[in-house]
Amino acid sequence: MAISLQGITKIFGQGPRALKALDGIDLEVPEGTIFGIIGSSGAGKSTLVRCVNLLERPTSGTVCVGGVDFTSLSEGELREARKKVGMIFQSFNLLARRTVFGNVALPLELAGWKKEEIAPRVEELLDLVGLTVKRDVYPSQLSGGQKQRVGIARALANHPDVLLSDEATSALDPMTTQSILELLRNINEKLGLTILLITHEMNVIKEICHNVAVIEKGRIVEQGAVLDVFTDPREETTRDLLGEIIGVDLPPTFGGLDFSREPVAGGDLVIQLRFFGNVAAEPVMSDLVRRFDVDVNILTAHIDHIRNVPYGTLVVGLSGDEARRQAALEHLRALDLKMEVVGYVRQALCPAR
Amino acid sequence: MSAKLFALLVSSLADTLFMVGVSSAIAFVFGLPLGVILLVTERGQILESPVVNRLLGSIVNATRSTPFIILMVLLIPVTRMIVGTSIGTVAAIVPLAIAATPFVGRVVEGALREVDDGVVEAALAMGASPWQVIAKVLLPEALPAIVIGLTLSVINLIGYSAMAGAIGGGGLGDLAIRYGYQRFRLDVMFLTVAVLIALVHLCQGLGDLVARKLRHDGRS
Ligand SMILES: Nc1ncnc2c1ncn2[C@@H]1O[C@H](COP(=O)(O)OP(=O)(O)O)[C@@H](O)[C@H]1O
Ligand SMILES: [Mg+2]
Repeated sequence: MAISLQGITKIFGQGPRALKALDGIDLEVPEGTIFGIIGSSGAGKSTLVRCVNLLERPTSGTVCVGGVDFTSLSEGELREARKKVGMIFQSFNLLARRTVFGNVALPLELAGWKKEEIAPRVEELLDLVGLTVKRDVYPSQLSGGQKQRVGIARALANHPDVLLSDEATSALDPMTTQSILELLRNINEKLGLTILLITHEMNVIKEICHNVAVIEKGRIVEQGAVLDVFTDPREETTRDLLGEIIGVDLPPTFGGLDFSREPVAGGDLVIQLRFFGNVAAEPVMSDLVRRFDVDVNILTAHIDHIRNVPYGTLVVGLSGDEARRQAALEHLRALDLKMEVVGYVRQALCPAR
Repeated sequence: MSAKLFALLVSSLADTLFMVGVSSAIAFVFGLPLGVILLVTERGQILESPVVNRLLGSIVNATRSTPFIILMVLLIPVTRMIVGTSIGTVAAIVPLAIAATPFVGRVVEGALREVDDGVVEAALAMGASPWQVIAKVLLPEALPAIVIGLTLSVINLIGYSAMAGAIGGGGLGDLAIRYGYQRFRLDVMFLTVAVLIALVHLCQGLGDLVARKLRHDGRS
C-alpha cells in the first residue's frame, strides 16, 4: 500500500529548549516500491520513520497508509492498523528469552492467531529468510545477519501491507548488508510489499531503492527517482553523501591542475561524462576518435550500478584541433548522457602524437 | 546436644520457614503488580501516569525507610485487627509481609527497567496493547532478574523473621534470644546462627540456579 506523509512536523520539548526534529515533511511512497530516506546522523530519519506508525506522534501533519489516516485513529484502531505495518530495527530488538520460532510467532500471538495456524506460518517465514535450521535457537546464539533475518521474518509474519526499516543494515558488515538487502529486494519483488527504509549509507539506496529522499535538519532537500538523483544531484548535501561512492568530484590528483575557460595552446580539453543504462562508454569513445579525429585519454573511470542499471563516470582529456574538439563536444551533447566541460589545462595530458 | 534442644531447634526452624514462606508468598502476590505499576506509570512508559506513580512511590519509600523493628511495633494494632493477637508466628507474618511488599515492588521495578526499550518498542510497533506488552514482553524478558530479586527478598525476610522473634514471633530468632541470650546458652546461639546461614546459602544457591536456567542471553 502507498504511504503518504503530509506536512509532518515534530517538535520535541517545549519553550526555549524545544527542538524541531521534523519540519514540514511531504512524502509519497508509491505502492510496491522501495523508498529510501538518507541523511546524516541527527537529521531526523528515525523520528520520521517512527512517525509513520505513530510510535512518535507528529506535532502536526497527517500520515496515510493505504488511504487510512493513522493520525485520526483511536488507540484501539491504531493498534489494529499497526499489525499491518511491519518494522525492522538497527539493533534487531529480538526477545532474548524466546527462541527464533518464538520471536517470529510473537506478532501472530498478539494478533490472536490460533496455535495450530501459527506454527505453519512461522515455518514458512523461516524458510523464506533461510533460517529453518535455527528454529529452536535463542538470539544470543545468532550472528547479526541471522538476527536481522529473524527480525524480517517477524515483521512479515502478519502479512503486512508496508515494511518500515530503521537502519536495518547499519550494524552489519558489508557482506551481510549485501545479503540482507538482497532479501529485502526479493521480498519487495515477490510480495509486492511497499518498503520505506532509512539509512545513512548511499550504498543501501543504490542497491535496492527505486526512489530516494535526502533529509537534512528535519527537511527534505531533494527527492526523486534514484537514477535521477544519483546522476544529477542538485543539492550540496546529496553531493556530499554521493561523493564517496560515485566519484562525482575529480580525483585528488587533478586538484592541482589549473583549468581555464579558454583553449590553451598545446593543452588538453578535460570533460566529464556520466552515462547510465544502455549507453556504454567504450563505443562512444571509439566513435569520437574515428569520426572527429581527436585523441581521447581516459583520466579516471568509475563504473557502478544502481539497482541493476549500469552507471558510470568518466573523465577524459581531448587533444587535437580545437574545431574538431568542438564538433566532438557537439556530438556528445546530442547523446543520451550527461556531459560537463571541466576546462582546458595548460599542459598536454594525452600522450603526444 | 540434648534431644529436647534438637526438637526445639527443629520446631523453631519450622516456625521460621512458615513465617518466611507465607510472608514471601504474600509479598510476591502484592509486590509483583506493585513493581509493574511503578514501572509502567513512569514518565515515557506505556501507561504513563505521574499521579499514580508519585503516590505509590512515596508510600513505598515511606515503608522502606522505616526500620523494621519500628514498623513491627507501629503495626501491632493492625496485626491485632487482622490476626486477633500480636504475638506468635502467625502474628509476625503481618509486619513481615507488609515490610517485604514494597521491597519486592522495587526489586521487580528494577528488573523490568532492565528490559531493553527497543524490545518494548518492537512490540508496540506490532500493535501490542499495554497489557500484552507487560504479559508477553516485560515480565518474561525480566524473569531471570525478577527471580534474583525475589531471592534477595526471601533472604531479607529470613533476617527480618529473626528480628520478629524478639517481640515474641517465634522461630529461630526467638530461640536464639530466649536460650542463647537470656540463658547464656552460647551453643544454642551458635547453632541457630549456623542454621540461619545455611538457610540463606540454600536460598541464594537455589535462586541463582533457577535464574541461570531461565537466562538465554549467553551470560550463563
Ligand atoms: N525523544 C526525543 N526527545 C528529544 N529529542 C529527540 C528525541 N528523539 C530524537 N530527538 C532529537 O531529534 C533529532 C533527530 O533525531 P533522529 O530522528 O534520531 O535522527 P537520525 O535517526 O537521523 O539520526 C536529534 O537532534 C535528536 O536528538
Ligand atoms: Mg536514527
